[in-house]
Amino acid sequence: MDHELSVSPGTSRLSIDQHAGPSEAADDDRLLDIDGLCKTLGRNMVLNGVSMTVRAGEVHALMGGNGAGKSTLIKCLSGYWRADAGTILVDGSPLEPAAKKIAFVQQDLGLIADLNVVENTCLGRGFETGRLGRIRWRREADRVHELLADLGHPDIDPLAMASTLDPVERTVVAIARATQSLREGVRLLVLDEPTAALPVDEAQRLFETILRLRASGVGMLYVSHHIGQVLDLADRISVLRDGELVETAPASSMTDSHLITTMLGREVESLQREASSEVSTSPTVLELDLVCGPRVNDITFDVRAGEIVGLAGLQGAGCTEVAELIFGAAALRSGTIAFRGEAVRFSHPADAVAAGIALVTEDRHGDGSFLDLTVGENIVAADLRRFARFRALSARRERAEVAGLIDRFGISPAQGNRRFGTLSGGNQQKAIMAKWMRLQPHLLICDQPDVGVDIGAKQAIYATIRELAEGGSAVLVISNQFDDLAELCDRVVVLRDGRVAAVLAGTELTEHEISKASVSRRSLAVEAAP
Amino acid sequence: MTSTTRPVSGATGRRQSGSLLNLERLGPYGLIVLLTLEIVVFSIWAPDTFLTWVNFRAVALNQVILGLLVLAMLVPLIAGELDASLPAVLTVSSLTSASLMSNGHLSLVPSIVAAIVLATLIGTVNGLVVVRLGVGSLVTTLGTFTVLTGLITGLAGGRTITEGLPKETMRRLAEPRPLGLPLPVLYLLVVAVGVWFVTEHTTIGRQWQAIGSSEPAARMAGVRTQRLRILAFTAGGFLAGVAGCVQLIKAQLGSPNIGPGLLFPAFAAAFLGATAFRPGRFNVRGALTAIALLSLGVVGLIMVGAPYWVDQIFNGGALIASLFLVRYLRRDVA
Repeated sequence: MDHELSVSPGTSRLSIDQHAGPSEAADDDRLLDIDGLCKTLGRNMVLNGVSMTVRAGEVHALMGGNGAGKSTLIKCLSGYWRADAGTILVDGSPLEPAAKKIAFVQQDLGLIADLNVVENTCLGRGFETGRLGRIRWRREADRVHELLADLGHPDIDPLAMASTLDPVERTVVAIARATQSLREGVRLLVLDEPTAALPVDEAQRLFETILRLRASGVGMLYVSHHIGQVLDLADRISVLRDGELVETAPASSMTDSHLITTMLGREVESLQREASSEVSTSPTVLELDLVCGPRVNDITFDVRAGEIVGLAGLQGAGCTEVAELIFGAAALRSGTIAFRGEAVRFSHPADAVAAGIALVTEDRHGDGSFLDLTVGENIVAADLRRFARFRALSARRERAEVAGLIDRFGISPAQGNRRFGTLSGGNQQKAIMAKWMRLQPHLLICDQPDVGVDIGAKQAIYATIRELAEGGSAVLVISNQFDDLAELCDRVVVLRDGRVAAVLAGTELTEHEISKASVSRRSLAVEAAP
Repeated sequence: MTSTTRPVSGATGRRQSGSLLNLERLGPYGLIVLLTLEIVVFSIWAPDTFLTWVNFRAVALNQVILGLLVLAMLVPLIAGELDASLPAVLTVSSLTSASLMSNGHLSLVPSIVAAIVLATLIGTVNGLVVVRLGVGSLVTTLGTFTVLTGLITGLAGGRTITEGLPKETMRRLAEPRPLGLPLPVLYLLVVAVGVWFVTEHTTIGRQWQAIGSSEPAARMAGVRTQRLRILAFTAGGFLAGVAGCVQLIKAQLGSPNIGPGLLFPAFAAAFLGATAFRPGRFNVRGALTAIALLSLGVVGLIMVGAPYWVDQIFNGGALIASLFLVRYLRRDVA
């Protein structure tokens, strides 16, 4: 790999703008000019002096890991946040969100479920009206139909409710809404993960649209995790890390491994793992064979007793879905799941819990805890029988058990009758771990156990996981923290687009390898624009 | 449905830690403080009429049916569901047992058992519709309420059933006063202790509370939430059936007019009660305290010369004022 860009991570910010691919342009062609943008949220400096430009007829990709500041940057552009310092010039004049000079395809698409396609498309723009202010629905529907047909989707009914559309159609509608303003003179388009919900052929169709727009002189800021897509599509690539722009370079000078290194901020060394010979001979606790379910296909892997297996993947890769399938919270479509040597098909999480499986859910507040109940009530929620006789609870035994668990897991403040919602994120997670550890599960699944917890709590949680594995249980850990997975796990199963992309173990098990396997590297064979 | 059936302090409150401890401790007893104040004020104001055993006994007897109905409503409320049809179920139960005795010439016990079974079934049907079809509980039970109101009119022809009832037996079940308390008040206390025990000291009650707090979380903790939600409706129907039979025995007549008017007072008591003892949660002790607070307030005001229509104004006003006061007492944790 012979790029002459010297990237010294974390310190310098390089800005190499000179060979800008197919659309070599003069300075006055700048549609977007961001200079020294700073934004602090809470106590975190989320954007720290970011400067970048988007020229007419250019696709400028913005990359970076979770929490690098991409979303904040886009929210500054959309006017959701006001920047603390720095300037944003659109077409040479300061950004005025109300002037709507930028078209957006937001990450969550921003469609309103209970409105139809026409209403969604026209909401921000306004409707064409006739006499007495009557909206000309027929004409608007025709216009929207035309926009959709242009994107290769004449089949989408303009009068369909957004809630009835599938994810691909929803993305198309969001893109149509953005292209409508491009037809009306807007020249700058921001796309935030537009391919997240799209299969390959649809992504391909989107790229054709993007290239067409580029040829017509539209400038695009394109945010994506898909390194392969970005390398094929973009003219220039900028990388954000920890709120700083660490590199801007022509895509033609980039390689995927260089991009990963730049995003991570360091050359990741392979941690030599001790080959634990006992583990490889211990009995298999969980075995998935060609498991298919909602959004996941042909998942095959196993977890042995005493083993910690990681499940890694980008947003939407299917990790949570796999956990829910194992736990009986989602319906298995085909394939077999064997638990402790027997094929199982749990129809309800209660069956899985009874069999000895525990799941620390990803959404701590949504389905992981009872915010209105006390800490103690949360801790004992998964099994009340232990201090119940004929269903009558013994308050004394419950208090004793709760006190013991609070002490053992270091939950602070150490008050079992405190409302769960008043605990800090880390202590909430410790209490949730306590809830499941109390059952001494044969299999513990932790979905993002480290999100929103401080470093101390994180270490405590990882220690708990290790302890359980040493006791002979099997553990499956899902995390976005690939470095932590590499350190914690014996093996890591990497998912991509709902399928197993790689199984890493031994010397291969590094943050770098996990990152590499998790990003899509399909070659898209995009023709360079004329 | 969950959001609308949350008790007030839980719905809007976002509590923070680091609160002033004394206020936090007083919060759960705010309602008791109010009740005590009220009794003291009226006792000083009208010592000869208000502060008498006869007065308290009469007030208690008057509130028995409302109390039983509130207990019936509490069970689904704790599980996060609102059953608005229960006042009508109460009436159906009362009229069914009355007409079984009057027109069907059955004796008291089989009539009562049949009426309670019918009420329980209505509760189960409500539960099945809400849970299995995934329809909101307020809408469903308002529908049931309307249907039942129609049935009530059909059953009784809009008339009160007084003929052919075993008045003598009923009197023996209603009028004695062991320990100085009328029997119906004792019925209420017994049922209250039962509901309190089940909802706060059994696994089922705890699971109802978990579902009421977060159904998805309860499911993911291995609680069979659908079954338990249906069971909550069933229990509510059963208790409303019991309330209807107590009403029949107490009044010795089956009236088509008794239930529906109790819907809003029962709501008020349940929600107001959720500010006391276990703030943010519907609970038996709080609900009974709330009934005492509201009913003694009205009686006291009338005794010091307020006009009869002060009843509703006081009930509504007191509900709002108490919520404010309790919120103020708990402002640090609310």
